[in-house]
Amino acid sequence: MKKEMLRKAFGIAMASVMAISMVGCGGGGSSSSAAPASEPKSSAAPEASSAPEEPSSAASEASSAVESAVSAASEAGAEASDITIGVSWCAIESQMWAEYQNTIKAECESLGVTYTESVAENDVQKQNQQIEDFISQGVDAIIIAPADGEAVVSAIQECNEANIPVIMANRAAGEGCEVYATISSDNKAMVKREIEYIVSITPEGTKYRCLELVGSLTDVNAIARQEGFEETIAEYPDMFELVSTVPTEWKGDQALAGVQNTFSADDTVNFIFSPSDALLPSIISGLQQLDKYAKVGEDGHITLVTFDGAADAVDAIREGYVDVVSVQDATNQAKLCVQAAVDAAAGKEAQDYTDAGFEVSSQNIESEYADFTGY
Amino acid sequence: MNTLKKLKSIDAIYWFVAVFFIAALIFVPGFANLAALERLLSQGCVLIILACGVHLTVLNGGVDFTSTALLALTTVVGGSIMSTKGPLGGSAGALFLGLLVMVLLGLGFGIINGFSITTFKMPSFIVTMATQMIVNGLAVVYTGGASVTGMPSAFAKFGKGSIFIFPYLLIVAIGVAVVMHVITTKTLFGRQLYAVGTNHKAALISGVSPRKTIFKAYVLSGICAGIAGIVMLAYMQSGSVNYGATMFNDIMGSIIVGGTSPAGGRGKIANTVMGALLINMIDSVLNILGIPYYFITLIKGLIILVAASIDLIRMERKAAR
Repeated sequence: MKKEMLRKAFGIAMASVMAISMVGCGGGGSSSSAAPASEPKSSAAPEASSAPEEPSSAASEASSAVESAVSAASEAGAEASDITIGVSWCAIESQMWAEYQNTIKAECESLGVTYTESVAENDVQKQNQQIEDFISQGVDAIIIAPADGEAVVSAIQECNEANIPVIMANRAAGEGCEVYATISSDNKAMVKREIEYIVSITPEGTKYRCLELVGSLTDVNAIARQEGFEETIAEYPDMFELVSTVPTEWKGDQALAGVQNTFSADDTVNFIFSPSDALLPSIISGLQQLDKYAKVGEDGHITLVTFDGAADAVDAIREGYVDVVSVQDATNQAKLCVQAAVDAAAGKEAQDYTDAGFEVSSQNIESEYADFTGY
Repeated sequence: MNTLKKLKSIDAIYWFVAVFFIAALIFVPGFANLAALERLLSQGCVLIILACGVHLTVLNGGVDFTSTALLALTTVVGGSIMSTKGPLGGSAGALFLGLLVMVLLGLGFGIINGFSITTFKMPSFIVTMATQMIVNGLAVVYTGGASVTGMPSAFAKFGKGSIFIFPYLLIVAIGVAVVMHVITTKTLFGRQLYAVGTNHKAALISGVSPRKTIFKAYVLSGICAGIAGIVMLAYMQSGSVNYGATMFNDIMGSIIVGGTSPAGGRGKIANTVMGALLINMIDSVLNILGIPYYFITLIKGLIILVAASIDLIRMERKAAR
């Protein structure tokens, strides 16, 4: 009896291993239109589909540029439909990344480019392995959204050896490797622009006592935003005073604790700089608990300056609670990534793929960006 | 009949590795080429070494959570010592000093773990969880969270080099595994390890010192973590506080799939190495197939569950015989 059971169990196990490999094979072929489970932020999808009709003319320029690139690619003999692009995500942890992911998928689908992805959950070693696996898979170009630009260098070196072009999405790679293009925003310049916007609308004699939240110290963008903020406020010493700097490692709970601790230590703080909208919900709930969440222009309003352009932030601006957000145009950046990847696979020269970004504030949200919903 | 018996007596994990490997060779495009196999082998090295170390602590009924944190700490400390951007300018001496410090760090925290567990009679998971937090904290304080780069070229060659398709790093990993195998099977300490894991009191009565045995297991696990740090640093060519962040499940997975009892007293190093290879192969194959990450975790979990239950059924059968 037991023997029978054992045999069955073993048989099932063998079958399951084989079945998994089979399913895997099937998945491999059809992974162009990513499997349903790879859309963790499905709520972001409807927004995403409306997002491409954004006011930003840059986006439409980009898409027409992609089309021209593809036609150039097909002229060059490399049909877009022959191209496979591997995308290595650090993690889909914010609406910006979800928008990025959805746009790249959609863009690949519309161009007939085969899309395949891996998500590293911010584990840099895992990301390196996944990139190596793309090499084994024989993709034509790899788009990398790195968890850590420095630690990903050794994997990029292997891509270089295998002659597979690498496109960096949103975050630059460290030294010692070659990338075809880096698609990102000038984070420092963007933060500078939004702080200068605040300066421009602030009546003379106002004194801002600032709480600065910092992202992850291994993230070049986080550092650029920190530098942008600190350097810009240093230009206006009469207006800004930095009271506290709180590292968050991009974690909401640490941002919340940072807000609570800062206000318990110093109740006069009236300005918060958030380096990402991913931290904004935590900041808002911290302020609500402290009874300090007031609208722009109301008594006791804490000036809130943030970054990314997530739907949460844009809603909060529309409702009048947040002052300004610097928007990295994730839709545009994602399209630029695909454009660069297609260019690279076709063997074309790299162009300038910088995304300028834009600011949405309580002043222009009802006019210039009335249709903008964020990511 | 005899060969059938022999085949049946082979531990389940070997079947799993063999079936999965052959299935992958046949069905997975891009897997059956030498460069891909070499990459696969170099990816598994850190996991093999860490799993061997933790294996010893599981054998006596404990666990070592510190190992993944030590992996990260050793890469940032060792990396900063040997870095060409460091004060020693990446000289040969710096390289040697870096390697030495990495092993010593592992040894040091192994001693702290072993001492706390045996002297204060604290459960190993509490002690090693606490030291894990301390070690993680130290790594972040030491670097400010930034990664360490600029490894000397000799070290880079070591990290990328191979003989045929066998990376140098794999040779280190197999070396560690062989030493651990000999320690667990051929030495008095090894036999005591199993004895303490099976029955603490009986071991004590029969003259084995559980304190010494347990202490040594944690020290060895610490040293393994230090060596794993060296291999990781060579493989990645940079040190980061983030290394090992999601690795602990894979370590325990390797040990459990290999048929080691989490309650202690039973398990073979060779099987744990096979477990690590299996987990690494599953990761790699599913990646190559373009399966989304969340599915990979799910499938890995299922396979560990199936493998562990099959092993248990077999053990029960053996016991009934």
